[in-house]
Amino acid sequence: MTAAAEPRARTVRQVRSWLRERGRQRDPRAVLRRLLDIYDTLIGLGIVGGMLAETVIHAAAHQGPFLGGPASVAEWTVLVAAALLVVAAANGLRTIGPVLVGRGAYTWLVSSPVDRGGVLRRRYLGVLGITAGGGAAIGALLTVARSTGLPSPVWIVATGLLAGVIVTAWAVLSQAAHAGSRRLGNYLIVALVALAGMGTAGTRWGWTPPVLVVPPWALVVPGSALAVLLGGWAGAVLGRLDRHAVTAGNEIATAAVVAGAWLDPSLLTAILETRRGRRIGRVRSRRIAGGRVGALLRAELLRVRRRPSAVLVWCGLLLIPYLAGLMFSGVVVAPVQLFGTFLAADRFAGGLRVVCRSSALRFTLGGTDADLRLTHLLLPALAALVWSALAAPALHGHVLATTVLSAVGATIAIYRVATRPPMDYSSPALATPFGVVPINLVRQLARGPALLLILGIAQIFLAGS
Amino acid sequence: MLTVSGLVRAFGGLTVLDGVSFTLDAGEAGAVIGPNGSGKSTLLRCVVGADLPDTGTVRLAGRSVDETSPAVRAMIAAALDDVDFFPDLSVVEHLSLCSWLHGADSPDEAVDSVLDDLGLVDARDQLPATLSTGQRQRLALASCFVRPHTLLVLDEPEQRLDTAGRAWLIEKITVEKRAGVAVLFASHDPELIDAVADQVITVGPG
Repeated sequence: MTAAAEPRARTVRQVRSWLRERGRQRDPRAVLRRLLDIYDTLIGLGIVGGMLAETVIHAAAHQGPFLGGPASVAEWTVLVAAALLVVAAANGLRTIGPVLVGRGAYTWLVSSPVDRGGVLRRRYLGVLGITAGGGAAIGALLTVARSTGLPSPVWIVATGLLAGVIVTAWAVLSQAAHAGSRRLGNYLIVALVALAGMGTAGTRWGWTPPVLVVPPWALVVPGSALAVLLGGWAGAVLGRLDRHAVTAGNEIATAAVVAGAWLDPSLLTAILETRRGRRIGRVRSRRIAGGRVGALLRAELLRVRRRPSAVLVWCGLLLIPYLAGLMFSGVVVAPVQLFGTFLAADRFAGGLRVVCRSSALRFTLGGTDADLRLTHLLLPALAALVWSALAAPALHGHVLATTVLSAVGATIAIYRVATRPPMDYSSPALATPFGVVPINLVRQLARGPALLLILGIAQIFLAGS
Repeated sequence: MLTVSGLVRAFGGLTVLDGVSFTLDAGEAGAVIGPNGSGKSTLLRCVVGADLPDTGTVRLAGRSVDETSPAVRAMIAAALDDVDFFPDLSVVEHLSLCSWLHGADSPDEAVDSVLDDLGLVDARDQLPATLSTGQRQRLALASCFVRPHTLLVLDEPEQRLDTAGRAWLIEKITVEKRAGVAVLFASHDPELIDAVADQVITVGPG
């Protein structure tokens, strides 16, 4: 009688070597292509890195603050913007994974006794490299907007790099634990915006908000320790990432890549919308009644109640024209009001976008297309009007004309964006430094933003007159 | 009530519908049959005006069908393959909205009855993103039955319905016919076709 043979697990190195060998047999030129890809990537990184380095050097040589207004306001703004970026990055990373396995590798990863942590380590280090580099790059960009009270560019870049590592490690730990609710991130965003609001309001009414002066090393030294600790811990839990954890974000990651390549953000937003719906699941239903317009408006209000983030963003964006009024010349506030009105009111245009996109839904709802579109435009138009009116005190002159132009212009732009026809990639193409771009695609992408741009320039002239 | 004459629809060099003609009176049901890819859905889309034929006409109650006309939208209730819903409204809210907008006599009763008939009671508070494909199909069917209409157009309505659901569908279409509604549906289900169809419209090769 013979004992059952121990199953021999393959090492990661053996699996990779086997896959490489098969790849070479299938396509002998694959290695050359890979080298060319690496060359292209290095060239791209070199160009971007060079531009960033130049920016930092220029910022280091720049004596005075780039941003105008009281130094404390500039510092508040830069710090809050940086904190918001970190929270948004954490939310984004957790939404997609961040350690993912594609369909091909997934098949053998989950069905074989290969060392999962070993396979995922390279991906983890890749994500870590990208986010640390991204954090450093954002730090470098923030140095452009630095005020005299902020530390030197080197410290800011180091802090950005550490933030990238810490956020990624936190996201991987959350991924392993199937935790990491976005709720905490959302609360943090609200708190940060409220903090910035208090600072802005205080400055406007003569109270200078204090700036917490912390020596740079007091931020970077404990940050380095935390980055090493969390980074190592995240590396150690990679082997515990189960099949759901490593594949859940694939759909979004793929959609993001396709949306970027095809310049069509709707490909990504549709998936995010579906995931949001699944996350909510059930709601407390209300019967809809009233006349035709009344019933459609009631349905619109129900949708807004289920999307409180739209109201929070609408409120949070109100800070921007007041900050612009404190930091820049009065001429800038008018276009800021216009773009802010568009961004704030567009959050309420979900119903309009669905109705414009789906002829089947319009057919089901009955009435004319114009009726349906105009009824669904009422809420965004009201949101635009109220927002621009609330932002009006930040303006320096021509208040009524500028505010009306902002409200009307933003509403028309929202309508034009919502009524964009489906993307058309079949038109003649232009060769640009960013690749070949179909002309119709440019026209479709410009539908709405182009109007905002023209009105923004008109507002600058109006404010300057 | 519905007159389709000489309908031709081609995609590139491929002719999908080649001179399709038929007439459907009030209280009659027509079943569109044919193998997969034969043009059943295209015919239904042309009938509701969602797709324009290359030649031929579709007339409803003596008027040419225009998908954007409010009168046509009021007369036709359709559940085709391009069904869509508001992402933030629940099942019952969709039906309630649809019923109200089309001026149903007792919207709440109609909604409750259809939810019960189609087994959607447990899903009444769910958002569309959480529904299975079968539940979405049933919601599309339900949104046709909660509102008044004179022509009912259904694309393979038996799909993803269980035995009880199919029996309900047969009964429901029979009731609709008795009420004077014309019904045009594409189907692969011989039982449904035998039970309700007054005429069979064959599309595709041969």
